[in-house]
Amino acid sequence: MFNSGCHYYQTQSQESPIKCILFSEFHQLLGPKITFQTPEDYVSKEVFDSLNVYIIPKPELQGKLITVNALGYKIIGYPVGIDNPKYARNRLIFNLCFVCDANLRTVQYEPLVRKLANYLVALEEESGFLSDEESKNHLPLIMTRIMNELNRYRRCSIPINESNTIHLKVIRVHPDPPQVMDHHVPIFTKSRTAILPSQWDLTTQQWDLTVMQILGYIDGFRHVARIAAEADVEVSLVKSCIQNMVYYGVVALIPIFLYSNVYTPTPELGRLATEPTLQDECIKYVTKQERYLPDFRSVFMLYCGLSPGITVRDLCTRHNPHSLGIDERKLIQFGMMRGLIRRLHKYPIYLPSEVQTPIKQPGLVKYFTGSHNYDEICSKTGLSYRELDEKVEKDARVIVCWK
Amino acid sequence: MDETGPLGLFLVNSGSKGDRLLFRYPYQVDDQKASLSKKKRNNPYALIVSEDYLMSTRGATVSELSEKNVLNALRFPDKALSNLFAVKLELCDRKFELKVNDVRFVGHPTPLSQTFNREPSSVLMFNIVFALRVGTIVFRETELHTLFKSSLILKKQQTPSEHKLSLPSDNDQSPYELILTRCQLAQALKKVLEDLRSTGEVHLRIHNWIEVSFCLPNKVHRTHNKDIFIEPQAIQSCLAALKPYHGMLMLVDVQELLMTLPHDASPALVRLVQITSPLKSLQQLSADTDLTLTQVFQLVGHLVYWAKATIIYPLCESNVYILSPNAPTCINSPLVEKFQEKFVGMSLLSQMSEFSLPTSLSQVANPLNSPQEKKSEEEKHVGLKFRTGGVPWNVKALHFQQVQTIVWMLQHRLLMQLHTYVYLIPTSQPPSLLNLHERDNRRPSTDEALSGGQGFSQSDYGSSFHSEDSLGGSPVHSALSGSSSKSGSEEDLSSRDPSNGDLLAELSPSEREAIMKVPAASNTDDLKLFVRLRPYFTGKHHLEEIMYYENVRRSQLVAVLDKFRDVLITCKHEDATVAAFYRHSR
Repeated sequence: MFNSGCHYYQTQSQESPIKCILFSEFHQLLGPKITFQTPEDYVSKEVFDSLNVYIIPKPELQGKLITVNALGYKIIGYPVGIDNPKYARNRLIFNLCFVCDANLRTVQYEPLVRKLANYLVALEEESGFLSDEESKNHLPLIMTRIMNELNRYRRCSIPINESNTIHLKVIRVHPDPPQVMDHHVPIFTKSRTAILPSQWDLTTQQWDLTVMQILGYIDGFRHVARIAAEADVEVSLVKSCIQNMVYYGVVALIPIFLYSNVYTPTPELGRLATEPTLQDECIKYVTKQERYLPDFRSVFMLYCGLSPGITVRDLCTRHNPHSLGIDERKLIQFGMMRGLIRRLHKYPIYLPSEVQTPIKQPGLVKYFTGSHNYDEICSKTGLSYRELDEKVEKDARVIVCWK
Repeated sequence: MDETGPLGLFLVNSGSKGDRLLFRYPYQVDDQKASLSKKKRNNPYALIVSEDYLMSTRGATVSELSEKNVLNALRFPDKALSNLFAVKLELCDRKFELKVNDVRFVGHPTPLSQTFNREPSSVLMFNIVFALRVGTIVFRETELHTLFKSSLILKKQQTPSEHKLSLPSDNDQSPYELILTRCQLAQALKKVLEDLRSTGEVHLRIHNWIEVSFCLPNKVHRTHNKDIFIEPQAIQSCLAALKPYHGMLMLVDVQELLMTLPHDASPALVRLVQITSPLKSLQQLSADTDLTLTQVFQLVGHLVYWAKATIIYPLCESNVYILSPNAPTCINSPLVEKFQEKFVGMSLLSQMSEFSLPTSLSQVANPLNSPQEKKSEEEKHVGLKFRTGGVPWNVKALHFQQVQTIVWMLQHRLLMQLHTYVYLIPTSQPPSLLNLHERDNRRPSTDEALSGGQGFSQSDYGSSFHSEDSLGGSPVHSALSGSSSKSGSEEDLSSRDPSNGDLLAELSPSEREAIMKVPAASNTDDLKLFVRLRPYFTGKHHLEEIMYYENVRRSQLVAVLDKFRDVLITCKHEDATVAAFYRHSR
C-alpha cells in the first residue's frame, strides 16, 4: 500500500537538470532582452522573442511563478518589478529564469527560482546591485556557479557581499506520506545502526533531538506506541518524526508482526524468482545465522505458502522455518518492505438486524464500521487480538471482511 | 469539486485587431463556492484526535493558500489572459503549456490559414485553453489530445462564431453571460467544461455538424468506484498485454450504451456489444461476431478506454475470487446503498465477507442458500453457459442471484481473481545469473518446437497473432507466430522424442538430476508432458494461460503439477495484467 504511491511518482518522469540560467530585463529603450545567460546562446534571440510575453509579463503577472513549456524549452521564472522613481521608467523589471528539458520534471526548482528572485530584490534594494552596471557584471559568474553547483551537489552557498549569501538547495518533491498510526511498525529501508549519543559528532548534534532519541528503538519489531513508551517521548511527536522519515524514504511502515497475521503474495513475488540480486539480498536478510544461509527453494516455498486463511503460525507448523535456518519474522519483514507480499487485514463490521436489540458492547461497536482493522482496534482499546476475536465471534451481527 | 477536472476554459484569438479574449467560462469566480467545497472535503465522520490537531490545521492553511492562488489565477483580467494565450505564430500548432503559481494552462494554439475561409478574415490564430490544478499530471496528455481534436474542428468554423461572439460588449451585465445566451459555440464550450468536471465524458455536435467526443480515462473509470485511480498508461499497458483468453465485462447497460453511440459508430462495435457476455473469451467473441481477433482487441480496447467495459478472465466455475485490497468495507460506503437498490434484501458487506477467503465460483454455486429466481437485464447474457474446460455447464442450476452479485462486485472492482502460477525451482541452490541467461536465450527455440507439435488450430487466427507480436513481446507469442508461419513443424517433436535425458537437455545437470529423481519422471508420458509445459513454469503464466496455449485440460495440468510437486512451487495471486484496474488513489 505504501509502496505503490512511491512507485507511481518514480515512474512519472525524471528530474531535469538545469540546462541554462537566464537573466532577462526590460530595457527602457529595447524592451525585453536577455542580459546574460549561461551557457551563452542556449536560448536564441528568436525563441526569446516569441516567449518574452511570459518572461517579462504584464504587471498583473509579476511576482508569480511562471513556467512556460514551449519550443522544446521549459522556462521557470519569477518576474519581479520594483517601483522606484530612480529607474528609467520608474520601474525595474527583471527575471532570473532556469531553463530545463521540456519533458522532464522541474517542480523541484520552483521554490529556488522564487528564493533567488527575492535575493536579487534584496540586493537591489540594499545596494543597487542590478542597477549598477559594474556590480551587475558579476551576475554571469554567480549564475554559472549556481547552475554548476546545483546540478552537481544539488545545493550551493554563494557569498555576494558582506551581508548577503545565496543559499539554495534542491528539495526533492515526494508524495505525501501516509498518516502514522499507533500500531504501525517503522523499519529502516536500508540496514542502518543507531548512533549512540556518545558517538554524536558535530552534525548529529544538530539533528532533531526527538529523532535521535527514538532512532535506537526503530528495529522493525516495535510499533509506534511502544517506541513512544520505551523512548519516553510523546506519541504525537514520535508520529511526526516517523512520518518525516517516511517522507524521505529512510523508514518504511509495516504492520505489527503477529503469528496470527495473514499475508498473501503479490505479483511482485515473481521478481524474486528471476532476479538473482534480490534473491541474494533476501537470503541474507532472512537467515537465522549468518554462517548457514538457507537455500532459496525453502525461502521461496515459504513465501508461496502464505495465502489467505493461513496464518504465520500455520505456516510455521507446516514448514518449520527454524529447521530450514529461516527467521520467519525477517522473512515477513523483507517481503513487506519489498512489496513481495501484502498483509490481509481483518475488518469487523457490525450489521444491525431488523430487530433492534440492545448493543452488548457499546464501547467496541463504534469501531465496527468497516473502516478500522484489528490492529487499529487493538491498539486503541488495549484488547489483545484473541480477546477481540472472541468478542467478534460471539456476536452474530458482526461479520468480518479480510482485505 | 473534483480535483481532477479542469478549472476553467478560455478562448482567445488574435488577428489584425490584436489579441482578444472571446470567451471564458466560468466568467464569475466566487469565493463562496470555494469555501463551500472546502467544507465538503472535510469528512464529517473523521475522528478528531487531539494529538493530530496541530498537524491537520497546519495542512489546512497550506491548502487554503493554494486554493486562494487558484482562484486568483482564474480571475485574471481579460486583457492579461488574451495577452498570454494569443501566442506568437511560431508557437502555433504545437503543445502550449503555461504554469502560473498553482494553475496550469494547457492549450493547442491553432493558426488559421487564409485559404481556409471562404471570405477573407483577419483572424490569424485561435487558442482554446484549459486551466488545470497543478498536480493533475496524469490528466494532461489526454487533455491535449482532445484539445487538438476540438481545435481542428473549430478551425473549420471559426468565422461564423467569431462574429457572433464579438457582437455584445457594451452592457452592464457580464458580456460573457450574453454571449452564452446567443452563441452556440460558447454554449458548446460551457458544456465541454461542465461535462469534463462532472463525468469526464464529452459528446457534442458543434453547429449540428461535427461530432466531438472525448473522455478523461482516469475520470470516467471512477464512476463505478470513486476510489479507483487508473492512469491512461496503465490502460495502455493492460491492452498491450491482452490475450485471446481474456474476456470482457461490460460496465454499463448494453441498451443504454447502444443508445448513446453516435450514428456513425462502427457496426462491428454494435455487434460486439450486443453479443458480449462475461462468459466468453475474446477469441469466442471474435468467432461469434465474425471479426478478426485484432479487430476485437481494438474494439475492446476502445470500450475499456471509455470505461464501458473492463478486462476479466471469463467466468467459469474454477475461477477463484477474493476481496480486492482496496474494496471499501466501510458501512457508509455509497456502494452499499447502490447494491441494495439492485439486489433488494441483500447486504453488500455480508456478500463481501464471503470472499474474505478465496472462493471459487463452484463453491458459490453450492446450493446451501435458497435460490431466488430474479430476472434482470444482465441475466440474459449471464444465463448462457459456463465454460469449464470444455464441459458445458448449465448456469440454470446455479444460483442466479449469486452470480449476479459476483458480476456486480467485479464491475465495481470489489473482487479480484486469483490465479495459480507455477515456478520450476528444482534444486536448493538459487539459479545463478549465468544459468538464467542461458535459459532465456534458449527458451524461444524450445517453445517453438513444443507448440509446433500441438494439435490446436493455429491457422484459424494465426494472422492475428502476428499483430499481437508488436504489442507484447512475450516469448510465447513470438514462439506461436513463429511456428504458425512455418509449416510441418511436427517433425521437431518427433526428432526430440527418444530418450528422457535429451528432453531435459536445456537444464543444468543438477536441475536435471533433481527432476529425474521425481518418481513420476520414470513415466515417459508424464515426463513428456512436464517437459512440454516446462517453459511456462517461470511464474509468468497462470494455469488458464497454460491450458489455453498448450490445449491441455485442467485435470491433466493439475495432475502433472501434483506429480512433479517436489521440483515445482505454486503461488496464487492476481493477474498483473488486470491488476491495473484495481489501483487505488492513494
